[in-house]
Amino acid sequence: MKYRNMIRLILYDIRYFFRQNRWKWLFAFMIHVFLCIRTFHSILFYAGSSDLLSALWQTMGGAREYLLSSDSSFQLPAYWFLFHIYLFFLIGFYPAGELYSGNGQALVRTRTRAMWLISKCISVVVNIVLYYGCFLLTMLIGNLVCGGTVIPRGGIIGLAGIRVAGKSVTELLTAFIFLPVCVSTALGVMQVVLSLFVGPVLSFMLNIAYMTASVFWMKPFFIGNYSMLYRQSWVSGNTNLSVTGGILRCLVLASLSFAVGMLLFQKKDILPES
Amino acid sequence: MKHYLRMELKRAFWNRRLLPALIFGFGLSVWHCFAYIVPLRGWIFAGVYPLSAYNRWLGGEYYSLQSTLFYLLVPIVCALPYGDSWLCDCAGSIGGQAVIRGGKRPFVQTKLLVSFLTGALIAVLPLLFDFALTSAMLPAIVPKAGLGLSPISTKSLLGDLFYAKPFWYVLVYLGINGLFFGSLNTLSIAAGLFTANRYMAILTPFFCYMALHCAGTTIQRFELCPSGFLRPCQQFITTWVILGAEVMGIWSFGVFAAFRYIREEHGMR
Repeated sequence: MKYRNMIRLILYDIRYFFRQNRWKWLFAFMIHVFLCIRTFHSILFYAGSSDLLSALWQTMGGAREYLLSSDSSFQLPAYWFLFHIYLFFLIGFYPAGELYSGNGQALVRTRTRAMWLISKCISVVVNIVLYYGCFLLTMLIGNLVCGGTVIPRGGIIGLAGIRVAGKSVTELLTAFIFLPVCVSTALGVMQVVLSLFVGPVLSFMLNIAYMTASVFWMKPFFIGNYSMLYRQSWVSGNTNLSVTGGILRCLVLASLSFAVGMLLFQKKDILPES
Repeated sequence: MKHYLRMELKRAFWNRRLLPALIFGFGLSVWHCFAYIVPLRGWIFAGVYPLSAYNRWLGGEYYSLQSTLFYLLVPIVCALPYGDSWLCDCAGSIGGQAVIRGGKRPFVQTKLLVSFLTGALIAVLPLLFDFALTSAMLPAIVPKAGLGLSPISTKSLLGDLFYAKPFWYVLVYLGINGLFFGSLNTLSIAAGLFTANRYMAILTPFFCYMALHCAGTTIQRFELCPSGFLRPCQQFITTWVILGAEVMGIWSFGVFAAFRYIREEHGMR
């Protein structure tokens, strides 16, 4: 009985997440198409031929380590930043909004707060996976239209000059997709928990600030570094930013956020402020 | 109108969300000072050519995290205290009452004006504070164009003024910042036209700011990016025409959307 209720709640959340965010999802798709057109355009312009990994690199590559000096200029990697920030905007507003909509009827009917929070976290994870899936699909279609291969000919990502020859498909998938998904999931869970206590706008701001700090400091504490291919150990040579370490850190952060959120949410006054 | 104005000013500047908005700016300023300005004080007596406060304060450089965070997040922070008041008023009874008693025009005008003032003050006050703090620690040496110590060239917007009267340059540029961020903040009022979500209303100025940034960087016209040209150190150089066009565009949309806002169920006609 309890299981069935839980599954119904999760399905309800996923359905309503989409229903409430249908315009945001449309805009997300437009952003993916924009990124696809821009990346394939620049690859074809500079390299002559296209491939999927080079196209993904344009967005997921991020930026090389920032070296601070009085005449340096700190700039955020535009595509990487747009891709991640929009994801946080997409997922960050539903849980807090649902808590107070209809005078918290959904929470009352759920009976336990723990189930409510678990369901919200699962629906956020589903949305993150679908966001990446949608992006990957758009890129695959773009690659198909441009007649490109999946792995670059010669085994080198032309525009970045990074050698991928010798890497297995699993390693490439982990570095290009799985690790960024883990980072987004960890930060997404953290944002959901934060949004219940400090509000969705502030939690969104904190996530933006955290991602910006990740670009500024190349340190494992800022897990945004793991979602930038330029910063991962197999490219940068920095052993602190290994793929395995990144996955572990993401798991720890997501579990910690969830556990703390669960503890605090049990004691939270859920009546809306007047 | 006067009555509304007094009431709205009190609501905007006497609410608990103004404090975090100001703490954000002042906190970044103090952090910037301890991270970059205090370590420079040793240089003053080291016998080398001293670094000027005009090139080192929060708005005078673009190498630090604090400066980037400030110019990235300031549109959200500006909208925090008052950005959702329009939607809250219209969804509640205040909007309908105000329109019935005094007409829609004064109500909308007051909302736009107070929104502008909130945005301008929240953006400018921390910058003024930071400039004062930096000037208290580093000498305010007049920059020399030939030395290459300043990121501003004579071809930049008001570049001549910077090398002739840098203090006036800073004041004028802060005025431009206030004008732009104040205008941008009025978009939170305009947001009511297409959303009933108050969080979305608060974030609308930020999204417009980022949209201009994305458009500018995509078509390689960096002079369109306010996040670059609004910095007094001018990471991207713009022209008066572009600056004027962007401010006018924002105002036109803000005013148009606010006056077009009709919700029978909210008592707004």
